[in-house]
Parts: sequence; structure tokens; C-alpha cells
Amino acid sequence: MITATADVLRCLDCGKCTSACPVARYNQTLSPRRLMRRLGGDPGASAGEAVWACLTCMRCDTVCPQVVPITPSVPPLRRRSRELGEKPGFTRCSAVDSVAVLQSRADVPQQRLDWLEDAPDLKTDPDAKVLLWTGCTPYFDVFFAHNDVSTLDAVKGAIRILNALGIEPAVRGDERCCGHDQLWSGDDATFEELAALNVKMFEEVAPELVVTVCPECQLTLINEYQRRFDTPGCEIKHVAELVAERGGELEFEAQETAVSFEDPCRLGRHQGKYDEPRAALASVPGLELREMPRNGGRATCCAGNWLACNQATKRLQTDLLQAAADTGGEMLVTACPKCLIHLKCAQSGDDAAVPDLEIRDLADVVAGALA
Amino acid sequence: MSAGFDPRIVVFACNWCSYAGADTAGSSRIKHNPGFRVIRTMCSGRVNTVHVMRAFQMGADGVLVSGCHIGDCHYIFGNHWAIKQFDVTKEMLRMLGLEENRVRLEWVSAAEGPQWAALIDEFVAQITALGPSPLRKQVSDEAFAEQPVGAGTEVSES
Repeated sequence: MITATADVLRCLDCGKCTSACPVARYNQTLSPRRLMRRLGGDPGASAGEAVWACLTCMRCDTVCPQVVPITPSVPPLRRRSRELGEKPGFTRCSAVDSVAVLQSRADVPQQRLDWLEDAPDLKTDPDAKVLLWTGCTPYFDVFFAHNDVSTLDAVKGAIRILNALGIEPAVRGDERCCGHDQLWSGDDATFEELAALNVKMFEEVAPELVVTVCPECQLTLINEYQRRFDTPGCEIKHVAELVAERGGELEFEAQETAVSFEDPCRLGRHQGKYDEPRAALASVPGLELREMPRNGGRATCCAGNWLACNQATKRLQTDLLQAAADTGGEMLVTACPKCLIHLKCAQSGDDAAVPDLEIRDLADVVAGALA
Repeated sequence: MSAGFDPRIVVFACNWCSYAGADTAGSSRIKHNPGFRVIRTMCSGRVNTVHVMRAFQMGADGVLVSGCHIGDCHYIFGNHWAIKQFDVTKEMLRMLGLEENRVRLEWVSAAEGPQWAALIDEFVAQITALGPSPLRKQVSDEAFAEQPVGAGTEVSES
């Protein structure tokens, strides 16, 4: 079902959403205002190309004076477009979509934990009640190796942080993709299949705490799994929250680094967690945070979109990296493996306009500073 | 393996060598197993991870990528690129739990009709011995035949 029409009819056509929309800055096919007008008119009609260009970053929702649920309307619109036979212009990265779809199929054991063998200092315990959710990071690192991406650094960092707190987490080989991308791109069938497998796993493990490195996984586990399937029946924390809460218990070596922080949309605007990653960075002595002009709720996220990756998203990524470089910080810290992938991809060409700034995950940076 | 298993095998063959090699095998009337379908690409380097994974997503049991011998590539270095991409493909499929010998990268020249026939016979036998792909969804043979292989990004789940 498309969003309740009454919600959309609140729209005053003021255009604040489109003026705030990062995509609309460079790609005129997307105008959240027009999207909502069309919904108010004929909910059954196709929303055209615009529907795939949206980053679902929620920037528009934060400025809407009428509280129209703009971003929540996008997945139903995409579902409708698929029903009408329209397809997103998947890039080569649709392999990531295939990875999720194939994980929903297999009755065969995945080989997703090989990286653990190469890091003997990481302590894990298969029977532990603290579950470290690795997400699709092992697959990302194989597929995006050509861009020098290592999202597993965040996972390894999170394990080191947990170990330093005296926790040996469980890491599961039968974990599946959470289905975040499928849900947001209107592919509900695949999401349901993935969720069913994960729910079964959660019921078996009955964790007391789930720690994620990926805000997308966290958002999906909280908003979908817990609300719809009542599982996992425990807290789901992003590693940044964990460090923000218990950073005082950790011992660090003093750093002399200035960094900037990129707010991932799924952590910030979707969940309102702006302070936690900053508190986590502040717990490391000598790590100076230099804010970019657009930060917190006004931040431009990584602009990654595997449904419509194009020049507009590249320009947004370039702008973000430039803003990070302009702070004078030596490094851009993010708290999302997907942000890392998208921003590294933007840097991968030989385009001199893209600042060649070091980008690292928050968990990796914090763990690297551990004494 | 269950009796009467008819494996679904997708073969990506490059236009300049392997596709012509298949043609040579046919015009020389070399008998070989007909249980495979060929998708012609301009170069083996064109076949990336997505194509192979989509094939398995759509119900394939085995995928063979075939190009010109190293040094003979029509585009000079396309098959070197094919090797690089195939390594990623193999690793992704291994992690997903697929048996390693369900995918193969081979070189067949335009003159190598007998080699093509032998390769196909060998690969079909190899996949038949492995049985249906564990990644295969319950897709009926009729529905599989109707799928526009490689055409779309959507897979009809019937």
C-alpha cells in the first residue's frame, strides 16, 4: 500500500524538501516535492526515474513543515514501479544485490568467516550471548578489493573494542544479509526470505546484546525485525554507542590527530544518533574532531545509491570529501561500511578534483588507539 | 544424483575465438553434448561477476566462461581482465557456499573445434555429477527456458 493519502495531502507544495534534497542539487530528475504531489494525485501512477534517484537519506523529512512522510513513501513507490515492470538502473554493483538474493537461497553453509583465521588476536566465543553482527562486510571486501576497501577493519576493530571491555562476542557463519537494500528498493520478496532465515538464527542464539558496525543493519534489525518479528529480543547497539557508553573503561594511547566525521544517514537522521559517534571519538584522548559546516541533521551523507549511481552522486561525494579536507583534518571518519565503500569509490578514479583523503571507520580508529 | 537430471549450463563465449570455435565444432559435425546454452559476448573480459552471479540467481547449475588464448585476445588484454574478474567471481561464489567446480574459465580458439567439443562434454559431465545447484531456486524447466537470460535485472520467481 502507498502511504496513507491523508499524510501526503498535508503537503503545501512549499518546496522546502526539494531545496534541501542533496540529489536535487545536481540531478533535476528528482524533486521530492513533485514526488509527493504525484502521490497525492494518483497513487497508482508510475513515479518515473526519480523514484530510483532518491538516497532515502531523510534530509527532506527534517525540513518539511507539514511532517509529510516523504522518505517512508519511497519504498512503496519503488514497489509500485516494480509492479509496473520498471527497473532500477543497477550498476555493476548489482553484484551486491545478487549476494543478498543468493544468501536468501542457500541451504549450504556460507564461508564468510575466513578472515577470522588471519587475525588470531581476535577473541570470539561461539556460545557467547553478545553477538557481533558482521553484515555483508566479508563480501564487500572481496568485491570492492579493487578500490582498496576494507570494511572488515571495522568488524575487527569492534571485536578488539569488545575484547578490551572483557567481552568475547559470538560471530556467526550462518548470518545472512539483513535485507536492508532489498527492503528500501522495493524487493520485499527477497527481504522476507532473508528475514525468515535471520529470525530463525536469532531464536536459536537468543542473544542478550547485538553489536553492529553498520547503521543500516542496526536500523533494519530494530525497525523491521524487532517490530515485525519480535526478535532479537535484546538491545541492538551500533559500536559507536557502545564506545560512547563504556569508553571510560577503555585504556588508550594518546593520539595527535585531527579528524572530521561524516554522519551516516541511517545512524543520524534515521535514528537521531548524532551525539554517540562524537562521544565515542571524544573518548580517545588527543583525537580532535573538526566538524564540517554541514553536520548532524544537516549533513550530506555519502550519497551512495546502487540503484542509480551517476555523476550527481559522484559530485556529492566530491563535495563531501572536499568539505572534510577543508577542515584541515588528516582523516575522514565514518561509522558505516557502505559510506566507506561509496566514498572510496569516488576516490578510485584519477580525477584530481576528488581529495585523496584517508577515510576510516570509527571502530577501526578507536580500536587502533587502544593501549 | 537423481536419474534424468538435466543440468542448466550457461556458457559465455567470446565473439572472436570461442564462439567461432563452437561454430567450427558444429560445422565439422563433431558430436558433443547439446545440454548448454551459449551467450555470445564481444570479449571474455566483458563477463563480470554480476553476469555469473545472475546466471546462478536465475537457476543455472554451472557457468563456463570461454575466451581467446592468452596473447590472442582480439582486444589485446581483455582475457587478462577476464582472469582478474573471474578470481573475484570464484571467491564470491565460494563464500556463498557454491562448489568451486561449478564455474570454469577456459580458452578455446576459433580453430579448436574438437577441443571445444571435448570441453563441453567434460563440463556437462562435471555439472551432472554435482547435481542441481544449491543456490538454485525451484524454477521449473519451462519457466527457466522462458527467462530472457542476461536481459534483465529482475528474476521472476515462479
